[in-house]
Amino acid sequence: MTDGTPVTKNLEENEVWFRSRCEGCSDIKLQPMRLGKDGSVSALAIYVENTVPNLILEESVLGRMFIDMAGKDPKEVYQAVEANSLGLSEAQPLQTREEGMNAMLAGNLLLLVEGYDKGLKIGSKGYPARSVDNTDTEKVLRGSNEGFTESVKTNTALIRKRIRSTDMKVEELTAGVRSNTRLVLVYMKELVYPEVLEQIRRGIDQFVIDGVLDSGIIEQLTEEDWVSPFPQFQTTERPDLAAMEVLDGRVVLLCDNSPVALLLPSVFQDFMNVTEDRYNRFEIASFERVIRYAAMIFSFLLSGTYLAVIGFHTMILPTNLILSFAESRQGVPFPSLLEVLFMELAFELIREAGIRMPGALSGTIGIVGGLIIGDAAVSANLVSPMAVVIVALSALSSFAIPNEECTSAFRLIKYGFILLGGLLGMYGIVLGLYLLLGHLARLTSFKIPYLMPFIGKDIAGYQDERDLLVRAPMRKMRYRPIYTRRSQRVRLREK
Amino acid sequence: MFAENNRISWSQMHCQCLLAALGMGLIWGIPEFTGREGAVGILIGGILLVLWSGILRRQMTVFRDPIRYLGKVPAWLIAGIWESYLVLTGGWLVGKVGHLAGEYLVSGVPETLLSLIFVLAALGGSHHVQARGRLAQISWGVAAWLGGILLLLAAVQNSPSLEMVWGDQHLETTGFDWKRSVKSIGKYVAYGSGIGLMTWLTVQVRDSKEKRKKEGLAPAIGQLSLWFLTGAVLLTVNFGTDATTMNTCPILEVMAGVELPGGFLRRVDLIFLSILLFSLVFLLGSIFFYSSYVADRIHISIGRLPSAILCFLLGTTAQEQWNWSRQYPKMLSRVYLPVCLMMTVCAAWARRKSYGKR
Repeated sequence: MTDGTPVTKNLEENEVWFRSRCEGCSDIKLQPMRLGKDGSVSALAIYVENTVPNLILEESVLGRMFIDMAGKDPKEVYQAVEANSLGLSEAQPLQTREEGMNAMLAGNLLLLVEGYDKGLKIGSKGYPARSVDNTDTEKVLRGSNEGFTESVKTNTALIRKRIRSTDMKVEELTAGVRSNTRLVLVYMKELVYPEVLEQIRRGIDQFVIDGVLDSGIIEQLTEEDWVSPFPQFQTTERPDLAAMEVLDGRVVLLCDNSPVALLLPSVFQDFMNVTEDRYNRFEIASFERVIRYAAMIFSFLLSGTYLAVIGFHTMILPTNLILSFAESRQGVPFPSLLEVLFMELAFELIREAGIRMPGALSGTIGIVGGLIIGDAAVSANLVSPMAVVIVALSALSSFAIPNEECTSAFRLIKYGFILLGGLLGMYGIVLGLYLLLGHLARLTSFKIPYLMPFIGKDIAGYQDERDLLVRAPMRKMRYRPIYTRRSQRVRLREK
Repeated sequence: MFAENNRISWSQMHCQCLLAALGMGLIWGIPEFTGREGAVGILIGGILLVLWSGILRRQMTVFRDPIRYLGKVPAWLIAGIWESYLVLTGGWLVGKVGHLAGEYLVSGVPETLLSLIFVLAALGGSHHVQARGRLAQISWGVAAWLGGILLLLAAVQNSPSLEMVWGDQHLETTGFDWKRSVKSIGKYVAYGSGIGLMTWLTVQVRDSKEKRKKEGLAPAIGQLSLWFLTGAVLLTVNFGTDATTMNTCPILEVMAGVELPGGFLRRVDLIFLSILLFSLVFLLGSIFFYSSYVADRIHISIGRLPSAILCFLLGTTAQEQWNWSRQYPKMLSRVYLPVCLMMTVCAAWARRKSYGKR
């Protein structure tokens, strides 16, 4: 809505305009009212049903406002409206009808008064939303369990709760021609690069789309390399992680109706780190991180390497192990490559079914998967026990990767390595690794190399944050990461 | 703001040189540098290469815009020589890797297909200067650690033989062959003549603001020489000075005899070969990239595909027809080394001339 039809003093004109646009919308209420002594002042309240409390309830602010106005002269009614004499929070005069429509559709009450040439936006409880709950996808042993909700206001407040400083800016944008979805950028003005902010704003503006229903749509439209399976924006449902990243100079993008926040820019290491890494002691954090990286490598390489070794390079294994493999494969009618592919796809089926299964039945998946697919398939000589072990280890390893999108990328790549290992042995694995690393080396996120900080020492102004594979003790972690402006890199110092 | 200026650091340049040269040198280079004479060849040849790289470093300005400093025809001629060097090296490499993969890694697959897959993988790698720098930087660390540990293990397990071969008894019976030593030096410098490309490449390298002196390739050449020296010593210990006559890859035969503590794996030559194979595919990718890069500097855009096709044809069809790759080492020593030295002189003259005009 780009035209600006001004709100007129003639209530009837305004009402006709709004009624024509809200025709067929039975959830949008246009409630005529009478204000002032003897009801001499006509007014019209427009709101979406269920976003505004009962207007006549005395204990509601709106109810008190209307009761207060009931005894006033018409002149006093206008003064009260204009001056917001009841001190309603979020009461804001609007010049145009379109602004009024947008405000109403955003869950506020729009009050039009006869003889007053502005519409009054009165903030209210807004659309129904879920309360703050635990996150399902990002579990930690230590740290807050709060998760974002679908309300961008609540999410902003959850971050503000952790960063009580006006240096933290909250900038509102709108995206989606029809959805008019509210987007919010949260950042520390002193820490963030203005060029990154500008690039984010440009990225959001560059597309005209009818509806933005989730942050995932923004992510896919604005990332630089949209062909790559690797995510270039980190996602999180945790306000504590979002706050931590804001303090590291990143920008958090919140999208209304989405509990998933985007953290920009993002590099590969961000997808492997969890908030616990900062809360725990450095020995534990380092150990867990090394396990995670090892798991990441196993998740995409283990199955392919297994096929390469048993297909082409059995001489590398001790004799007992080779005999054990051969014995376990006795009677299996399929080649190893098909066997592993079958098991991997079966696992994908179990995984997908587990996500879609209603909660009460989700435990059944474990039984079905373990007994039927695993045990029965081995007993029927469809697959060898070793293949089941390898696929299970590979799957477990992928679950150790904290970020789901990163896990998905490695899950896809794994099939490439399975084919390469099965058909070309280590020759294929090595060439595949070269292509993978070459791809990762090429990726950037807002001009920051994706492989930072593994290759960080060459970028001018970069100071080692000592938070790579092994985390330094907290009192040694003095520097912020590359996202922060050069003049603000020092995070910690002694008094 | 960040890494936007299409340049890389010296650290990334070193990693590229190390990663590119390691595989080729260890598999096919070092058998020719066995014995004490070979070791002397590596050491003194390495020093000469360092000095040469220092001279080339000063000529960078000429190759920022070779047509302007040298003139169109000389610039095209020099670029053409380097293009032929790159394509011949690439073709040689493609043929060798196809054979190596067929013999050691993948049985039952035609060598031509293996060569094709090798070329495609090299083409599929990064074609951007910063991406290649990052790839080298991240890969070199892993390759160096793994490869270094395996070489160290091999050295430790071969140390009793080392004492016997290099001990006094050996010196008394054989004596030091100075002629062979001089030949080794010349050979080492010839094999390292690819550093002549450095003048084209260093325009894309930025100096560190923190270091007072200008950097160069000396650390990379020094490190590579150390690797090759270790490999050459291992070959000498195992095969004497006859490693060059072996048809197989001697260094892989040495690694095949290495045992990991605990007997976890029976053979580690596969792991070592995998590391070297990574280095080889990186080298071929670099050849394609710099072939396109050199052409760009004389304002001709050809991309990487022509060099990839030529390398593949040279490494497969031409090799089968004429077995030309046997002449490759001689071409380096007798053709490219003198030509590269001449180009160094010409570039130095052009640089002086440009200072004279100012």
